[in-house]
This record gives sequence, C-alpha cells and structure tokens, in this order.
Amino acid sequence: MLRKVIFKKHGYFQLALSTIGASLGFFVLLAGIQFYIDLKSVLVDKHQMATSDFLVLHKEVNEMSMLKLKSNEFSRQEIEEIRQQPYIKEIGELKQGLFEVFATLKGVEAIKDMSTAMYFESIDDKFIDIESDKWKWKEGDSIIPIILPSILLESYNFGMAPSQNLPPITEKTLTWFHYGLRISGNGKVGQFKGIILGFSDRINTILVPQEFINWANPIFQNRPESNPSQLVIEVDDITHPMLAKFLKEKNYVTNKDKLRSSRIKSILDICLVVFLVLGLIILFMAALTFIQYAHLSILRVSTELKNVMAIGYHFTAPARIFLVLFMVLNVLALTIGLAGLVWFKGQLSAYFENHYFTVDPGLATTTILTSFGAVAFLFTANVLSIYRLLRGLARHLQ
Amino acid sequence: MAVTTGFGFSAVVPNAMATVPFGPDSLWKNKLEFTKQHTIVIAPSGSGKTSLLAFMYGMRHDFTGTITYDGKDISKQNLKWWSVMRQKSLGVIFQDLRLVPHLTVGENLILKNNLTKHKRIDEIKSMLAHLGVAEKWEQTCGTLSYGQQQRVCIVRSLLQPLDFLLADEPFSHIDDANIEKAKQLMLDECGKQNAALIMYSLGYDYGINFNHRYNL
Repeated sequence: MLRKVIFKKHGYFQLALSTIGASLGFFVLLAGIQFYIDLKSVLVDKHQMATSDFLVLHKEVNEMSMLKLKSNEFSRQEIEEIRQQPYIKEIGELKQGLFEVFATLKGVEAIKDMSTAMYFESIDDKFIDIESDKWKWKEGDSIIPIILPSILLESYNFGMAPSQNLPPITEKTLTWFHYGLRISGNGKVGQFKGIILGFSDRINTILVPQEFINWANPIFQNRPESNPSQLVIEVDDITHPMLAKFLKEKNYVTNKDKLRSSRIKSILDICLVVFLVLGLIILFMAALTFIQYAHLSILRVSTELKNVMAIGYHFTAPARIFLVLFMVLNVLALTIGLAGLVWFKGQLSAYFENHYFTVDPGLATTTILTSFGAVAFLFTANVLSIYRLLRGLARHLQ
Repeated sequence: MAVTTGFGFSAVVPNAMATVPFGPDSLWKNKLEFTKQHTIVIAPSGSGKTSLLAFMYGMRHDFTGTITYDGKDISKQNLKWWSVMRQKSLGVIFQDLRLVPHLTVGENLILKNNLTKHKRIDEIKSMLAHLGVAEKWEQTCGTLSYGQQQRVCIVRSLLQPLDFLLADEPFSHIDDANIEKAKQLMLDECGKQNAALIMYSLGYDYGINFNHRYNL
C-alpha cells in the first residue's frame, strides 16, 4: 500500500539515465583496473626475477670510438662510480678471453660445414639467466659449455636461413652438437669441444665458465688485458628516474627493450590513474543523479509521505521501499558494467591473440573486489541521502 | 505501556504568539493538565487551535514552554517514539484531513489498519456504512466531497488503540444527521477503549458532555 503512495507518478526516463550513467562509471573504472592488470602481466619479462632487474651496460659507439680515439671500455673509476649509485644493487664485469677462438661444425646433414672466428667472455654465475648443472669447467676437461645470446639464433632463423634457403634451427637442436674449438695465442694451440647449454636473453655475448677464462688467459694470452666493455647491473627498480638520468648523462647504452617496457609501464600507470579518476568522476556523477532522482521522487510525494508519517508510519518504512528500488538499480548498473567489460575483454583478447599476446580472458580478483566496493559506495550514498531527506520530512510534518 | 496520565502543559506558547498577553483562563502560558477525561478546547479562528494540536501530536516544535505526555517532555522524544504513540495511543482527526488523494477510501483506511491491525475489513466497512459512505470504498479520496472525506478521516482515527482522540473541528463539513452518527461512533470507541476525546472547536460542543473546557 505504501508503495502505491510513493509511486504516484513515475520518472522512468531519469531513472534509466542514472542507471546507464552508473553502468558507464562502473565500466570505465573496472576496465581501467582490469586492463592495467592484464597489460602489466604481458609486459613483465619471463626471465625477470621477482625482486630485481638486470641491465647490460655498454658505452655508446660513435665516430670517436671507431677511430679508437675514445675507449669503449669502462675504467676502474667509472665502474666504482656506477657501483656507488644508490639504486644499483650489484655490478658484474664481463671478463674477456685474451686469445683467438675458432669454432667448426662438420658432418651435420642439412647444415653446411660451418666455421667461424669467435670470442669468449665470462661473468660471475649469479648474473646468468640460464640454469644448468653442466655450467662448469675444470682444468683437464675437454668439453667447454657455452651460452650464446638468443639474438644470434634469432638473426640466423629469421635472417640468414630464409635468405640462404637453409632450414631454421631450434635452440634444442643446437645443444645436441659438439663443436670443434681451436684456442690459440702466445704461440700455443689447444683443441676443445664445445656444447651449447642455452641462449641468454640477458647478456649479449658468448659466455663460457669463469674457470675456463681464468685458466686459458695466462696460457694463450696474445694481447694486453683490458677493462670490460660491457657491465651487467642489478637494480631494485628499473623505473627509478635517477637511473635513466644517470645513464643518459654518462652516455651509457643499455638493452633498450627493458627500459622501453619500463617506460610503457610508467605510461600505463598514468593511464590507470586517468582511467580511475574518470571512472570515479562518472560514478560520482551517477551517484549524484541517483540522489537527485531520490530527492525528486520524495519531494513529488512529500505531502503524501507526510500524511503517511502523520498516521504513524516511521520514516524508515518509505525509505526501505526507495532503498530496495535503488539497490536493484545499482546492482543492475554494476551487472551491465561488468557484462560490458567481459564482452569488451573478449573482443580485445581476440585482438591480442592475433598480436601474439596471451591475456587471461577472465576478470581479476582486484577488479571484482573493486566492483563490490564501488557498488557499496553508490548504495551508501543513496542510503544516506534518502534517510536524511525523509528524516527531515518526518521532523516537520506540518 | 505505562499507565497514561495524560498531557501536561507548562507555560506553553507558540513562538509566533510569544509577545501576546493571555488572560488567566487561557491555556497558553499557564500550567495545566489534560487527564483521561473528555475535554474541549474552545477558541476563535486564528488563536492557535491547530497549532496546539500540532504541538501535542509532535508535528510542530516551534513553541516555548514544556508539554509532557506521561511525564515525558515530548520535545525530547525521537521519531520512533512518536511513531509508536501515533500507532498505539494517540488518534487524530486533522482539520485538513490528510488523506492520500490518489488512494481509494478503502486503501486509505487499510494503510492505517496495516500498521495497527486493529480492525477487520468488515468492521471498517460497517463503520463507513454507519456514516453513510460505505459505497465510496472503491472511490479515490480526491474525488469525494470534503464532508465525505471528513467522515473517512473519522473512521481512520478509530482504527487503532487509543488513550486520547485528538479531533480538530471534526464535524465542520458534516450535516446534522451525520454529526450525530459520527459523534456516537467516536464516543462509543473512546468508551470501549477507556480513551478521552480532546476536541478543538470554534465554540460548539455538539451536545457532548465534556468534563473540561479550556479557552485559548
């Protein structure tokens, strides 16, 4: 009966508008959070350790260094300076092999006999992103484990092989072969076999165990020892603004992908904030229109409501009717917003698939929790405003 | 509920009349009690009858002085307390009726009876019949004459437990024959419930045997 008193005249249009507004607010807010979570998961490097990042540093190669007027090596002083930066946790120096290396591969079908001059370097094991129990060498061992930069295989598979009508090679295939290695210098020659243990995304050089370099350098050394031209640094936060500034000031070059993805991450952060603020504003406006609607519908029947309260109804009785209505509408708005998001995500996932990303098609827990928080906010705003207004009417029935 | 002692007034005066001097026989600004006996408050138009009812029924609070009900200062009671009083103790016939115009006669009465569960539908209908408006049950209140609405309002005021029935010029638009019937209905219900009628009137007592008469 009370319902009949309240809904004397309907204002469906405004109610629908408020609900659509709230749906939009929910959609923008939740979409912002969801896509942030999704894109972040795509951008995080698979090899990246949980707490820190590794960057390979070298100096910029320019005309001066080509003419050997400027060294590409890091001096002791420069290494110390880098070590002292507060955001740098640890620094690894690449140690060069001071001898000639000549590698050969023979008698493998489908691959032409291959021989090449190459070089070896080594670094402390903790900077290496390949884990293997074969990564060791001691004097007397004839087999040397080798780690190659993954870019090398990629450039063969996507550049060399198609152009020379050669088959592409998988990482695994290469690890099956034993390579002939001829180490020479200082008037001495040594024959070894090499096996490829894996391919590193992190370090762009040919790595062998430190023990081999330490043993071979004094024996085969045919040039003076030089300072490292590549350093691996471990940092807590790759997005640290001081890091980028320092590298730029010193003209140090790094594997740009990582820095670029960290820059994308900071842009994403900004986008998220913009999305959140926009979503909150829309949601806030929707809350306001809901409140306006409540005020309007209460004031439209204020005389009737006063009469009803004058014959003994407590103000919470009509308030409850409004609240049930608004609860239904707020949940409806959330459902529309979430449904829109699920649909939109489905479309976008398909798009991502085509661009070699895999994005979990579901919604993140954070998104769902936020949606509950947002609907609670909207409903609380409605409750407070309706109670306030009706209590005011009840206090002054005449 | 505690035994009802009734209303107590101490130096009560509407804020709008605070500077008006009142004589010693006026209700305003004096100290007196409305116990559970039939009482008539007589006052010319504009002297504050309806204001007095609004104060006693908790609809307005713009007065100075103290009104008590069962010894409690009514201006200090919350909305919940008033809601209970209006359902279980204080019946009212408003001068301006306060029916919901877009509801039917039946709906208006059921709206009240749903709160109190005091009468059955057939009892309500027989009360309406007694006042000659039974056939209006399905008709919206807004379409009735003022006199017919006044009779509906009288029936509504009786659909609850009563200690006091506050009636503000309840018969102003009713013909003599129906006044008799309405008066009887009200007094019978008050008698059954041991309730007191407090009538606010321009001067007529409609032949009711009031125990107390007050002027404003």
